[in-house]
Amino acid sequence: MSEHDTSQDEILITRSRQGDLDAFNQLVLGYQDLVFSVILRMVRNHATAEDITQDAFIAAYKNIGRMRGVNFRAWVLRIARNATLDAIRRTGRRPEDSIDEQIVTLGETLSSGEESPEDYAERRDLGRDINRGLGELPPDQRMAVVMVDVEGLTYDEAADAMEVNIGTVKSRLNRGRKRLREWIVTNVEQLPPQFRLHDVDP
Amino acid sequence: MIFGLWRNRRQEQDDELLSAYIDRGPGGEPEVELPEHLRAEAQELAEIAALMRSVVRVPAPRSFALTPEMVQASDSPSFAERTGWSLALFRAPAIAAAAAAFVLGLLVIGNIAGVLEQERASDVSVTSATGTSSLAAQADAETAAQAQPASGGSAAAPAGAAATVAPASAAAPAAAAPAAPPVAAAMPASADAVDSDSSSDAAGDTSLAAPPPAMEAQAPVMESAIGGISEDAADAIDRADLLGADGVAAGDDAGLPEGFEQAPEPGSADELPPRSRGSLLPPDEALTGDDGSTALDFRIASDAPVPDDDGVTLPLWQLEVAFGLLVLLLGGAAFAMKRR
Repeated sequence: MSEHDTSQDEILITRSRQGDLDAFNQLVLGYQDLVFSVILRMVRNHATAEDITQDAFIAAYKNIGRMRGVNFRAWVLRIARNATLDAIRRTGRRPEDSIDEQIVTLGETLSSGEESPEDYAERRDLGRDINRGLGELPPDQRMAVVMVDVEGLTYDEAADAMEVNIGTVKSRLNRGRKRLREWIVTNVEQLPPQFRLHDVDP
Repeated sequence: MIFGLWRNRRQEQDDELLSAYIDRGPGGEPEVELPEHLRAEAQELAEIAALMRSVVRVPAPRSFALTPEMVQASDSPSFAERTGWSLALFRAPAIAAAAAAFVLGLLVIGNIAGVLEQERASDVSVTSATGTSSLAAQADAETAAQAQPASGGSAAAPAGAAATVAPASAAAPAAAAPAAPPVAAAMPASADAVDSDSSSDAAGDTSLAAPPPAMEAQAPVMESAIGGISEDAADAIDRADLLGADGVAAGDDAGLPEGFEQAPEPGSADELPPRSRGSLLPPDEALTGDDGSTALDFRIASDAPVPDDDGVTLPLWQLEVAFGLLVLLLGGAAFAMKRR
């Protein structure tokens, strides 16, 4: 099921509000990759991300009667975001750093076309660097970058999911991009040609 | 500060403009006009945005579909959730710390504003040799400092049966001195100049404050003087409890022993000249027996601190220290709980 099929979502939401667990599970299957991916890039730990994802869907089912509108994607991401920030607060300020390899091997961080083994290795290394760079961002900026740049949410959806106004999303996104660029320039020796950053005169 | 706020706002506007510019185009933000000074930065950030968009989604490792058991388990909240006590428990230290900080603030502000004043009283009692007269004097540090070391700061107070010396605070040397030797509160009529400012006249040195060595040497003399008091005079001392709080005899002369007459114009303690407080009255105002012996004039105001109408007296510094420690303790507990 496409996660953008809002008419289908609306039907499933209505049935879920009436207690239809199967209907809700169809929504879960449609959005679980998105929710898990966002949470994993925030907490950077597979087991924690799975727990938070499961809890987020349970909370969504229990509270679906309070949902306003039909944008299930933004709404479930709001629940996921709150659960994630709670987990980050509980475990400390910084995300856990031990799962970069897992993300790379499981997620193939960077998309690929047809590539040579060297290109693959290069892409894998860059994916690991990007994950580390994301981990250096404050949670709010990281959430904005992940939602808008990685997951492709619109500003409206991201603002809804983050419970802020659009201007704040834009501001956080730009600051996150700046910090990420600084981190990559400082820590990454060589970017692949297609991603190579240009030196710009101040 | 205003400049800082303006600069922050300007920076936010630039951030918003840059994001809108980078994400403009089909399906994204509408076209925006970018100022010249932001174009170079926009180019840099567009490259980062392109890099991040190439990052792929991490697929879920398993299905997160709910089962009826999961839903049922989540429907039965824990005892803490049901009662809500856990939330209150975690917030309690923070609330208590805030309350303690509030009280501490009130104490400090009250102290600064003069509404609250530091309590300075302390009592030291010495029972007289006869055990019949009393002096319940409360003196502050200043009084004690004035009363010691050489002057006679003795006083007769109405309420008790013990002669009292009043070194008021630890700051006063008298307070550190050992309890004064038993000294009668009654002096012969010749005891003159008994106010606290009087000098060390041997006959009138009736100070009950911790006596200097010279005075201790005089104690036997004083005791012998006490021995010279007639029984009537001693009875008069016993009737000290008939006197009012201000040292004025309650009622008429009925409480006085036969042979004594009430000193003229007893007056209130407030009417007495300041230097008369805590001291014996001059002989002409003293109670005089038929045999010429003299008892203490019980009209003398005690050295108890005169109530100050300007503020409330409290052990301020003790309270401030206590509440300060409480704030630190509770604040630390709240912080530790929040960290957990």
